[in-house]
Amino acid sequence: MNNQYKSHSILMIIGWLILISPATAKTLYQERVEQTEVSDKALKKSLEQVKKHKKIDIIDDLSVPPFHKRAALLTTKKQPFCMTCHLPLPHQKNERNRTFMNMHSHYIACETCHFRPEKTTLAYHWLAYDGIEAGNTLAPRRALEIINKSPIQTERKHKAQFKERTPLAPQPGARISPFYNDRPILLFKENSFAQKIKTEWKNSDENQRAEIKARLHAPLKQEGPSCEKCHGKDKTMFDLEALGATPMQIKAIQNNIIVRFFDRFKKEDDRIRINKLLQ
Amino acid sequence: MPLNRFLLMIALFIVALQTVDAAQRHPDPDGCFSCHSLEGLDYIDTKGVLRSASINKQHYYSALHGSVPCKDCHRQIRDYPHKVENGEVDCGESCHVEEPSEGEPYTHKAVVKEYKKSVHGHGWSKGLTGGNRLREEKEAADPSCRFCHTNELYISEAELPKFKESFDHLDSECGSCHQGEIWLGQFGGHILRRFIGSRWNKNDHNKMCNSCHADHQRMANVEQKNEKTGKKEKVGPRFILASDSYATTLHGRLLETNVMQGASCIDCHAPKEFRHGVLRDEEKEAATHTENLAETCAQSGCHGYATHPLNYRFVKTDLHDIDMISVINDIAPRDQSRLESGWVKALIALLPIIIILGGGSLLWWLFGSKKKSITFSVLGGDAFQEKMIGRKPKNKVKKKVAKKIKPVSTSSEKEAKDE
Repeated sequence: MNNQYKSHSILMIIGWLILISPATAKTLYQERVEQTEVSDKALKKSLEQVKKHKKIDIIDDLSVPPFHKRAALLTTKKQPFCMTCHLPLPHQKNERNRTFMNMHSHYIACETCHFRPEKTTLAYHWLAYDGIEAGNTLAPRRALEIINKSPIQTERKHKAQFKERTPLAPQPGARISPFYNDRPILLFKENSFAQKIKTEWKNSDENQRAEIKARLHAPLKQEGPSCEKCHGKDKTMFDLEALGATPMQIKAIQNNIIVRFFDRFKKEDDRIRINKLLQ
Repeated sequence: MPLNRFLLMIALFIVALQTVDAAQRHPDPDGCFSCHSLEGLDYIDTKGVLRSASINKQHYYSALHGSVPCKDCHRQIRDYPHKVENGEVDCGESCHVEEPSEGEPYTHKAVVKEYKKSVHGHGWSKGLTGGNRLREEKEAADPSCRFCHTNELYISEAELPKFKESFDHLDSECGSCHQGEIWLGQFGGHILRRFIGSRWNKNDHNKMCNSCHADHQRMANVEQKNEKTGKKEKVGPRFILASDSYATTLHGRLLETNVMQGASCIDCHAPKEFRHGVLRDEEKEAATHTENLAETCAQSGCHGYATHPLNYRFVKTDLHDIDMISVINDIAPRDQSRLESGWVKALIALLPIIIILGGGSLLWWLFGSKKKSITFSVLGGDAFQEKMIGRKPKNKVKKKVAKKIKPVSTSSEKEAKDE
């Protein structure tokens, strides 16, 4: 009887550990941050950036209204750890691509572009940032429809959706995010590691902040992948079909006129005649 | 084939060609929407201003400038990345939309000219970019074109249900059907604007003026040139409270209750031409100049009698009388200016009467007889009391009262009587 009680207890503990392990386990990004040894060069650069940094408060209520109608700044229930410091529209400097990059940030997670560890294969899935499913992986839109609807209904709905240009994202605010061993890599602001870093940052001086900043950015790449990595036809990052894209959507992504236009830029300060966009 | 028939055929062919050309007119000939129709093309500039390069295509085609190609306003844009100065907008330029009656390029030049001469003329009408809104807010005291006018819908959202009902239109946007057609380019681009221009009622006009003039803090910062000294001076409470004082007038109160017989701000201050020519009262051309007031009040069948010489006092009615604003109000000035008030003058005139009557009442209350008495009017009171009301006349009542109130003898007198 006693032995039976013991075995039950052990099983319960194992079960409980299995249950809580996804919540407490470190993500690949977190692991890489903790393994990082910051070089002097990186530290020096980081210190310069910390010293130069000026806080920006977003102004969106000017008495002079914008002439053209515009949408409000999109926010989601869950926000990535990056936004603890970075603006919600993080790309600011490169006047050629900042707006396009910020547009992508509405449906692609920061880590998808900036966390690309070598010799590690990552998978990409939709992750909900908003709604009741916030923080959870989402099935691609097409898969959802196939599960929920009969084949006839699905076909009809597809036709209707094609007409309405239904977005690829399965729900508003969802982003294509990197996964490792079936677990998301990114952290949200409320994650314990994110909270710990936030507190550390608050209680640190400039030198300590430079060290934190260097450590957090060490596993990341400043430059994102080239357009071709997603918009090309070969060796692309995503399996668009698995992400729920219809053949028409895949074609539109792979034959994007703007991507072709951007390919014409050879130097950083190039300016190109717009009419070439139509050629 | 006879020559005249041949010529007729050629003429018809030319007309048909022109119609085809006009029908092909497209509001985005430069392909700007290839990028700008994408949602979320935003960034935050170094000053923190949220900038957006996204243009809502559906809204644009349904808005006032829906038939105007982007480059008609952003004239110098040729390269990408766009240079900021190349995108600057000058509202006084002409565009490629034709004014249908004369076939000339449409332009706001005449409006801008009128606006430039007005009290607001120092506002910006050119050099407008998405990036300099913050600078305009900080530097410009006068409203720019874009401060009052945005690229709003032909039919405002509030009026849309009425429009749908009246025109049997189910779709909310004209552009979904009329895009790229002559209808949108010419009829929609000009005539419809005029046709539904009346959707701006007087309250809408006032709302626009009040977006600045009801802001006391903003108005307190306004400086005006003193005609006598030639120096710029801060404006007084009369100017700062112009919106509040107007609201107390019959005009303001009528419009507030949606009775459109009241006069709006521009009905008096800019009644003519393009209604942008608001001038200072002192200027001879101003609609509110003393010499022009009668004509202004008489316009549009409002106060026709105002021009009659015998009614000259009518136009002297002060429609921005700050004395109409309660002194208890936080915004009301409590300084020497209030001593010039009509209320104060009336008070001074009545003061002797108030002192006499008030003082008399006070004295009577302190030292007067405490006896109860019945008072009737001096003339004709008795007859009225007796015949009309059936009450006893004053004298009879007095006698009766006198009988009732016999002098009461003191205790010592009583004792003496007993003895």
